[in-house]
Amino acid sequence: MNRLPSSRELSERVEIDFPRRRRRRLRRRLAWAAVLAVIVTAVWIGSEWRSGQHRVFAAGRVSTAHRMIENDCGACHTTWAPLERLVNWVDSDAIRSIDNAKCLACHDQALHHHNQVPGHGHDGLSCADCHREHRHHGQLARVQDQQCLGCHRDLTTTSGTSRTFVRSLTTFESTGTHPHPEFALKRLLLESSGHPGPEHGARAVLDEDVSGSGFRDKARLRFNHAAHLKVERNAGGELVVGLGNKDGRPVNSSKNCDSCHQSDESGGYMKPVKFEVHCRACHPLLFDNRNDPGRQVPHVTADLIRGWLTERYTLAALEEPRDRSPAVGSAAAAENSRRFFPGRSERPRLDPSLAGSVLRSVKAAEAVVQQHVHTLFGHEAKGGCRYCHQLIDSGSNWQVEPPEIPDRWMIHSRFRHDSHRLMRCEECHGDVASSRKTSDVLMPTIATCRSCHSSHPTAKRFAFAAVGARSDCVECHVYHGGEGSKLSPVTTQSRSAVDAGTISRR
Amino acid sequence: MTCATRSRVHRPGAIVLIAVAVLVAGRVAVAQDAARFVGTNSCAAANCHGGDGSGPSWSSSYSDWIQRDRHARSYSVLLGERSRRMAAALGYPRPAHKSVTCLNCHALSPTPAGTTGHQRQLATDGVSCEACHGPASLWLTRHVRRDWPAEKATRAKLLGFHDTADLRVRTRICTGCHVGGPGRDVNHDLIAAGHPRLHFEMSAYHANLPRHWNDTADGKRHAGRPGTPDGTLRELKLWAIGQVETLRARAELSVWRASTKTAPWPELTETRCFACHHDLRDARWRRQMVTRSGRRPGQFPWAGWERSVIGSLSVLESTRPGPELAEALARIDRVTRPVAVNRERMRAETAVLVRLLDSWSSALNQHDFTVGDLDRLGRRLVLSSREQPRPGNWDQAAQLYLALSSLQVGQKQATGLGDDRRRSIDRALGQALPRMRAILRFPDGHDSAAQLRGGTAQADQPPLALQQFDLATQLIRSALKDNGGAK
Repeated sequence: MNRLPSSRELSERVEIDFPRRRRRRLRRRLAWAAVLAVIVTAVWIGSEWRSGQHRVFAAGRVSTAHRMIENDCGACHTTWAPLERLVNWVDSDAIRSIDNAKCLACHDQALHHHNQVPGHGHDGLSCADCHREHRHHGQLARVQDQQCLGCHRDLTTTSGTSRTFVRSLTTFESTGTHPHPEFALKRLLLESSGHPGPEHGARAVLDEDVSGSGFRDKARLRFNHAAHLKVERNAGGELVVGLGNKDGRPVNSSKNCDSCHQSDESGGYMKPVKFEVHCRACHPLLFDNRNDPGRQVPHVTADLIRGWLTERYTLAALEEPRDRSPAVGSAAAAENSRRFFPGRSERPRLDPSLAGSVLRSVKAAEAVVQQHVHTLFGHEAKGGCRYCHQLIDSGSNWQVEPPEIPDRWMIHSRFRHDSHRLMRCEECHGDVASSRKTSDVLMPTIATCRSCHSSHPTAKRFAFAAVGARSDCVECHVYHGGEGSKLSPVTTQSRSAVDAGTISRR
Repeated sequence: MTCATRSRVHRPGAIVLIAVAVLVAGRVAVAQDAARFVGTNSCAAANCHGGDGSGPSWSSSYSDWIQRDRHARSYSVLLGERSRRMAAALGYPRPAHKSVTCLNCHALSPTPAGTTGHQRQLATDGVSCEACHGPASLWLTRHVRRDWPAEKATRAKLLGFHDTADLRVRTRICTGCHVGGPGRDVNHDLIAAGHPRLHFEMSAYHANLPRHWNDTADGKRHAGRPGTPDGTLRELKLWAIGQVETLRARAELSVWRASTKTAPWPELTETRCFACHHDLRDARWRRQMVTRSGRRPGQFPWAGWERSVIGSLSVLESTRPGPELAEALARIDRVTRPVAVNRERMRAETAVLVRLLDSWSSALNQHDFTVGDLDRLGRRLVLSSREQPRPGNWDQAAQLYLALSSLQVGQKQATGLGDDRRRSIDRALGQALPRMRAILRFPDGHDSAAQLRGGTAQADQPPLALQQFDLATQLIRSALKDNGGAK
């Protein structure tokens, strides 16, 4: 008969000391497993190290430009910071594993502004404060707007509030508490409120009008865009208005802008317009079309033109038959048969009586070369210094006023024409076709830019594009490359007429 | 100054006394002592020599001189920047326009400017009328008289008048400054300070002198035998006399240099410039030049320029000097062989040479030049011979060019004789001379004949430019050879 086990018997089935018993076997196994894991890890890490692959230690991939040094931690890092941070248990920013010197070894860059207030850290800004590495960002230079706004939200300089730039800025969009203001250049020209400070680059390319009525283009040069672009056709599509060609017939002069404005090697900016290349064909610098048809003076300073003319007329006088010089008695015949003497200069001497006539010819030619109108093509061609330049006229010592055409207009930003190649020139430089005066500065307003560069673009160029072109700070502005930078792209040069015949870069 | 004071008294008796003294001494120089310069004012009157060119050439000779002749500016050169630098470099106590060394040639009178207005004018006029025609105080009034031609023929020397119609007298006036002479010494110091080198050739200098005389009449005067076109042989005679007189003046200068203790010695201009001065880049050039000339390094030829083509004159047989001349030259070469030339021996030898050349130039002056002389001389110049080897340096090539261009003038005139042969010679000269001229020209930026020193692969070969020069000579050579038989 089966008997039910008693509770004692039942309780005896439980090994009461089991938890207290040492499970040597299991423990041993686990221990071995742990040791093995460590060994495997160590071997793996070791083999990675041996093969030169240090990515295993990195928090994330480095930027594209730094990929070449991705495995060389020491190229950027100076200390084994993670361990230090762990031990010290402090805010990660306080302990730096990067020294600026390491960055400057390759990137020789100036800082932002000489009068900026250091934003972070103990000893000024660290490169790594803005350029965060190991975050899978392809471009380290494309820093977040937050980095800029850290200061520009409420801009203070070493001397207090900034007078050159706008104090509060939070967004490029027109809607917002502190939107990007109108371009300083336009603010000066359009008489809108808030002129930029006296140190702003826009002041370098504009002159305050003498009458005090505002600002105008600094360039001392006459140029009429409208006249050069004007084209009219009659009902039959025949050209009736345009610039005249050699036969005096109108040609399609709505030349594309790139007839004169050609991009530089990088494609970003426009090269200066050169007189020799772009102007001379239609605006000749004749000086003596009767005796020397078609011959033109070089496009250089007045002094050099005078020297050029003097040399030309002197040589011409020397080459003339010598019997044309005033002869006395029968001596002229003997003079003509002057015999060569080895070792002596063969250049004939200028008769002092000829010097006067040379001087007169030079004076006459100088007067002609300054004129507005020359006869070249059988009709009147506009040329001569005065046609475009202002002359400082002091009689025989006349000079051409240096035209001082800026190379760059908005020198605190950067721009690439080639990135905008899908657009027509007049989409931004809109008033070109009607601009008659040099003082018209044909630069776009910020609204023109915002029509594409915005999260709510007014001009949607592509149907599939949900938002507009980028409008972050670094899209147009470079942090580095301010004053004193080697890579500064911003200097405005005053050019004289002789300086490579520069006209404009718009 | 004393003679000026004395002459101002102007006593006829004194003049006679001086004239007697001159006769005794028999030298032109003595006559100059008596005569004095009067300056250009007397010549420049509009009715005399200061005419406007509408009259005969003598009537405007002053106007021609002042307008066209560079001699008229010889004084103002001394006021220029180069002269200022030269005087400073030479350590002269006074500026160039007040230094006797400069005024000796650059002005009529060596009296430094500043004493009296008259004296100042004598200096500031430069090389004016009397510098060539002789001091005029004794003949100024006479030379307008009807009997002047007769008086001139007999008493010119006494009166201090230089009869420039005589080509020998004419040449000697030029060499007085353009080669130099006692007291007129463009030595190495002056050249180093910036004075141009003197290398004179009468015919070319004469051709380039603006005419203030009737050149047609002058050509007729020296026309040679009747039947030859006017002026055909004047150039030839002038060239021949010029060659001998230039060497004579050179020898006379050497006599003065050797006998004047204050003159530098050894004087480096006794030899050629390019005997020492050479391109440092090409060391071979100099070695080759020495090898070719048969001299040893350190030996320098005496009077390289002046002796370049003089050997060719030996074709004029009737005037040919005796063997003494060749011997005298050989002796001088021996004397000048060591760098430290013996001064006394040099003086003695060059003095002998002066005498010999004197008589040679006198013989040439008497010589009746013919068209045949023209041909013979041409052949001698271009066909190399012992007396006239092919040019081995720039000096010799330049002298050959000048000789040929003088001959060309005669040949051109002689083509009027209607001879085919002459036309071909004239054509050959017309082709060859411009080529030679291009080779001899100093390259731009150089003041020496750099291209004539270019090294060649073989040491015994002349530089390429000289070979080209010889090719040009070949044109003339073959033109002369073709007809060599016909005399």
